[in-house]
Amino acid sequence: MDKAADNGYKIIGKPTPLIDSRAKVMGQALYTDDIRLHNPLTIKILRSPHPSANILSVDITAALALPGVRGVLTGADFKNTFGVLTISKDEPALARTVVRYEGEPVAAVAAETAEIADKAVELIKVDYQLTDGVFDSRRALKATDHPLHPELGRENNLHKKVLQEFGDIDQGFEQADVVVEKRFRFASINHAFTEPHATQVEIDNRGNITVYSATQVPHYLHMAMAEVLEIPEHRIRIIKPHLGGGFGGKSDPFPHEMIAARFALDLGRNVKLKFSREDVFFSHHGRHQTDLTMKLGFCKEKGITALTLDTLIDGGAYGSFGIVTTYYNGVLLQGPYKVPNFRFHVNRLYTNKPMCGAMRGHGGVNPRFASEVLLDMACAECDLDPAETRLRFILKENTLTTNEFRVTSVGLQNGLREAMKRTDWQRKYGKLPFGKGIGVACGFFISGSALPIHWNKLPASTVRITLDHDGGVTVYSGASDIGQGSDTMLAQMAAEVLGQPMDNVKVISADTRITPVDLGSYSSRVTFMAGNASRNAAIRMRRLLVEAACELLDMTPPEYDKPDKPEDYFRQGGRKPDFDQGFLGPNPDYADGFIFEDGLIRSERHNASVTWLEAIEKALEFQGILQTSGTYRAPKMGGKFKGAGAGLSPSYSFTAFIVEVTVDPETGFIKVDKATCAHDCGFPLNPLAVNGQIEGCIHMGLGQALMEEMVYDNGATQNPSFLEYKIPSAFEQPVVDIVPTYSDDSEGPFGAKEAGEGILAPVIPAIANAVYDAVGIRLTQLPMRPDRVLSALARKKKTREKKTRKKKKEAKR
Amino acid sequence: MSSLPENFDYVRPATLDQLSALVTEYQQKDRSFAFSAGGTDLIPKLKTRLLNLDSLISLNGLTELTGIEKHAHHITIGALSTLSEVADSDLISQYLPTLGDAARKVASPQIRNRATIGGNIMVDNRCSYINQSPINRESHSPCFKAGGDVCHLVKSAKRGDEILCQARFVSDTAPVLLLLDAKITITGAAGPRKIKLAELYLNDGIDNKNINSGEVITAIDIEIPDKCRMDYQKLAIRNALDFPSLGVAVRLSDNGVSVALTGLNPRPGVFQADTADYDSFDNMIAAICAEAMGFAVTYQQDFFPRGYRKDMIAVFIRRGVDRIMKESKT
Repeated sequence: MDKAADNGYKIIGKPTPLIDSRAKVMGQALYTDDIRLHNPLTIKILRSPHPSANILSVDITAALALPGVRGVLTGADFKNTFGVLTISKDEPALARTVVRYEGEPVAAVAAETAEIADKAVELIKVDYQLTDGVFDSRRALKATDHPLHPELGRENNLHKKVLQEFGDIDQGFEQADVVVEKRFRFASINHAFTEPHATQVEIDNRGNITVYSATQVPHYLHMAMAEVLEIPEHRIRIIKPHLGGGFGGKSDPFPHEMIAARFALDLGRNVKLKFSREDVFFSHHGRHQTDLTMKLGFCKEKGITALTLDTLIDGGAYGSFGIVTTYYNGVLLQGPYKVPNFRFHVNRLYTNKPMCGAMRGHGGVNPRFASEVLLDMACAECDLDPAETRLRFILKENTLTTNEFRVTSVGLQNGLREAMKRTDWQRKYGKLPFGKGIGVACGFFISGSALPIHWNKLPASTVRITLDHDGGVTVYSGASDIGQGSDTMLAQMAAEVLGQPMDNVKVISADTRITPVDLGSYSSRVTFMAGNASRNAAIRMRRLLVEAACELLDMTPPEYDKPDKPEDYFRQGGRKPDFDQGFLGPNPDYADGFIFEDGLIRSERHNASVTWLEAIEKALEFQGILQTSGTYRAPKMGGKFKGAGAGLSPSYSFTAFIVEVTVDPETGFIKVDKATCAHDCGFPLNPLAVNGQIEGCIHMGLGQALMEEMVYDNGATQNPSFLEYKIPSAFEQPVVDIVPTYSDDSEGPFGAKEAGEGILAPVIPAIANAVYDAVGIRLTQLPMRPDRVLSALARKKKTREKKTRKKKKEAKR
Repeated sequence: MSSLPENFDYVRPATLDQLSALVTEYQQKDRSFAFSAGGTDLIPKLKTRLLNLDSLISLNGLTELTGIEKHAHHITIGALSTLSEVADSDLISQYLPTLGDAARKVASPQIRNRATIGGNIMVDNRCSYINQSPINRESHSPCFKAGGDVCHLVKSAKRGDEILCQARFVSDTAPVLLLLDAKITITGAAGPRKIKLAELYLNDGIDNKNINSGEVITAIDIEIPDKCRMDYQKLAIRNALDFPSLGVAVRLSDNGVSVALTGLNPRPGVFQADTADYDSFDNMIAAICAEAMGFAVTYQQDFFPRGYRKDMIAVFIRRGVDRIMKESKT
């Protein structure tokens, strides 16, 4: 199973500490709020205390008159609204005539000190006319005289409706041995990252701004900011400093970023702004509150025969990533098993609550819970082992799903088999004493969205590499390292290809003035896409050095194979580079007859070598500078129907969890004792980072499973703190066993796929299925609070009593 | 709002005499003030503007309020002893181990290193509508505890009602101290006085402490029981950080069983059943469970729904009894 050793890789496949870990541990890493600009103004935001109101007037005179106040902004200062999706630009930087959620920014103050800014915020007088809000997605579905977004021509609060149908549903259910159906409900949850949002803006004497911001998407922020501020992009430079966690919560452009930049431009001063934890909860953008009914048909021989779901997702006041979420609630059910007949209907509603958006496992997590619980129920009804059954029906390699996703590598079977062995599944499942249980669930996820948010033909990621004359390597990438370790991954790519130690590779990332475009850290795309781009840039650099070495050694440079037309090449998933076309494709083979190691570039055939520095010096003679670029773009693929692009990815990751729990039938407490994870991330480039992602996903999944919930009371956020919004503490983390699970993805860089998000979804239903094994109840509502466990146990007891009474009666007759 | 308000004085008297002089002065000048020991409950209230002060009087200079000592059959705990000191004290673990357990169950190590036992028994009552930011409090109208005219939990409540505010009592150590029949020494303008801890608590969520403005608790005095057959259990979704959704202290003696509850109502509840009144031990336990459950008029202001918390009272009492019995067997 340990493939890393066999391939002869020197850097990849080895547990590698993140290159910035030392700086972080030593407290030297600068996060956005740590940066010290010269004499900045402090910005404070006035937020609406009302979830639904008209703004009759905003009086800023007293605030402006306060000594030390340099500026006040209101909704009137911004013409353009924005949104991360081009089709959903509905959010203003500051509310204009209406407020749509409690905590919505209404005005902002820039002042010489934070204290003055605070005082000025209190002096702003807003005259609100309260209006009836809509706080419930079912009610939001009804016709209304007061839609949230009449300005967009919307007559109701239905933001997005997606209905897709594949195959023959009726026939699918007819083929089933059992049909199970249930309604599931999910609370909205927050990302709860460590670092609250922060932004600082520096302005130069020519009116250009540098925006330091805690963002996952510098490129999208760049574009949105240019549009909102109505200045060209070249006047804006976005830099993402060290970042303390995102999980999707920093993947939109935000109002506070627009506000900060506006102040800097208007006042000609540097400015700074940071969120409190409460601000983070008010801004939210977390996982949608979801109400879904799912029906699953299962045949012992064929597996799933039909799957339908009807879903309401509560979007809150604005669009954010919501349209994508709407699709993902359906399409991410197309794996890890074949679903031949499939229909999903998802409605996203506008309500007067903080908006929901992307969060780790985006849109796929809640329906995954439902489908894995239903599959477990089907197995129980058919008297089948749920783990063995899953093993049988996991998608095979190189298959097309019903909605035409191209599934390439699948390595889950081995992983799940090994997990069953390690947990002693056969001896435990169904055989543990009451209160102890074991459960299984699987999942799958995209390795980057194949299509960009802003439609264009540019590469999804471009990486530039330069070589210094003393041999140092620098990798430039727009990708955002948000703590997941993408900088380290980019360096690993270059170090492996160029045969250099990690110390010799520097990474400059996420600076829109210096680094080439990468679309951002979302949809688990960075390893696959930026990784490929970095690898390709390094291969090009390698080629320059080989050429120089040949010149020095008086050898003929190697010739490289060329693929056919790119389209054909992509469909084949081939690996051959095409240097003449300036196009390398994904994961090209770079065997060139040379070995780069120990500071030498050596020809294998001629057993002759030059030193690394000699080759560089020679190569520099040609250009005076050693610089290459590499790109990645997803192959053409997918169906021709409307919405076929949603969930389309060049590759998919697969995950299985076996979870062991103890349920206290008197208190209803669920204790997760152990989680065994098999995650097929292709070839793990950095097992240390992969394991970290697995442990983190388990912790985050545990939170959603057992305790996390955004609580609203008539639109007011009732728990905007880490005291009352319960994320698990270290005490609740179970023992984790990670089963090495490999596949070789033909297009992922060195065979790698995503490892950041897909892991999360199946851990939650695995807990629920283990609870069923422990005490015989099916929980259909998250979080699975102790009181819900007890209610379910009481219901079970009642049904059983009813059954016995009925039997007794029948016996009497 | 996450910064402290600017305009308040901070004073740190070094002796009780200095403290007394300060209090007299402030009272004469009509200056509002509050005492701060660990500050873990107070500072968040200042930051969220729940509390507005002219002066913050730190008690941390009063070294005479520190120390845990044994005098004959008594343990005296200085009110400024931190919860960590109580939890780690050899005297406590030898003579009053359950008190140490309860102290260990409060919040997190960082907070226990600051928070004091005096502060824990004086901790202000909490409610999900009052312990909020100004924005949230403005979103709802101000409640009785905030000086307003409405209770968001009990919508029918109106001025003149016996209980206006249902903000709940959340001390983890108080139930154990109550069952130990602890006495507290209070010092103020009229000099020191000693009362039973049970007399400190009133059934009023707005202010449930029967103590005069300017008085401080200096020490807690506990008579060492012959056998400390006690148990304390806390209901919270996490094993750290949280205030008790319910706390149940149980004590068994030759005469019967006693129970103290926290986390439910504005005041802690204390119940007792005498062996003599029941024909069996089991009946006695059943009776005290029923009585204790009746005490819970808990409202939905917590992670757990009210019905569940009520049900857990009996579960926790029985478990506490079982644990004590098991321990005395070994």
